[in-house]
Amino acid sequence: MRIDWDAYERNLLPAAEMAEVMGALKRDADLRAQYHAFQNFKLTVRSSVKSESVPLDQLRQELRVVANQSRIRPAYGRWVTVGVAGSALLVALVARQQFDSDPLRLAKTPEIDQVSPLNESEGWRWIQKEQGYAGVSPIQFKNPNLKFSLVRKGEDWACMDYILDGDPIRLYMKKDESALRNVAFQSVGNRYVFAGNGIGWRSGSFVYSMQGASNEKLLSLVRQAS
Amino acid sequence: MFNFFRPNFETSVRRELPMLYRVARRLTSSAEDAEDLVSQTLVSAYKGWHTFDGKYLRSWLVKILRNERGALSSEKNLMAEIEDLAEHPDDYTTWDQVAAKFESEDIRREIDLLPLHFKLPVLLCDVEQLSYEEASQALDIPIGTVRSRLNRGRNQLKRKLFHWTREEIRP
Repeated sequence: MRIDWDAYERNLLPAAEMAEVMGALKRDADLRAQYHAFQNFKLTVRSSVKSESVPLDQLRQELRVVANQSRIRPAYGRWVTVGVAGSALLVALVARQQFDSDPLRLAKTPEIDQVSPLNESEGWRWIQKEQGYAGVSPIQFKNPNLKFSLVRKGEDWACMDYILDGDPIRLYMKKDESALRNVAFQSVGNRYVFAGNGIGWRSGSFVYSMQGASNEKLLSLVRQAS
Repeated sequence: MFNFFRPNFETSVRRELPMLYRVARRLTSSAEDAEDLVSQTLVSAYKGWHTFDGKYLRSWLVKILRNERGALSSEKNLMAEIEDLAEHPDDYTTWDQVAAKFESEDIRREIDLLPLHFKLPVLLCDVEQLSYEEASQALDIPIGTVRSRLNRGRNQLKRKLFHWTREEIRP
């Protein structure tokens, strides 16, 4: 049986073929070995490239310089600019008010660091070590199309980044006793989840929020997780 | 037209810096050259930020990076070489037996030696985990071509590594 493993992994096979491959994988140990070897090959290549150090501080400094370079505007444009800036400020203030009141927005401080660990478990360990989040409870997603990519942290938050069908999915976490209080939760899998601009839940003194895809898709990921 | 809702350049690009550097590093011969290439890419991306349509940021950045490196012209010259390459079966079964023999550095060296047409799909799809559509946008080629080159790239890399293993264990 010749299988396009890449298409299988990316969920791109037609439904009938997908079901056929899944059935064959359950039955055929050789096929499972073949799939495992394919995954192992890709993982080895990925981790080899990602294990090389990235001069992140230097690149961020470079980016800051590029992004802050001043642009010269013609004199007649000044009053137009003032008008536009005034309107923009008004819009921004209104938007900000709404944004800040979003209970699922956990990353309110700038990102400080990010790394690309070899796998999800290493990512969790990095978060626990870097942020001192001893009580943080890792979530085990079971969707094979959800690919782990990197972990990030801010002053008081951390985030696991994933890719699902080309969409970036972000799982934020933060130690916060007061967040997500007095909201309506619904039971999803083994969690009580709040659905708003993304989804979120509490666990001990930690609060988690997931964003990046439709709430339906996010809830389905959580439903399958343990 | 001015867009109030355009994402912030610095915030958006910041999280893609590791990816940009890794791709740049595989396209250049030294870490310094890779940093220079990323710098040039950032300047061009900033200048062209108003043209970014808000979709597939990574593809847009990689496309700029390729332009900065002047990759487009050299890729065209390699067309004949690609079309002539024979297909090889997608057999990974022996991979598990030899994978442990390699150091990360060996694998990176072999990736560096891949023709650009194969190297970029492998880097973008397998390492950076871009979707076929994102890779297609980044490389300006149809999705079918991305898949075909990715497959051939993997096979060539695998073949080179197997060959290297045989050389290593030869008495």
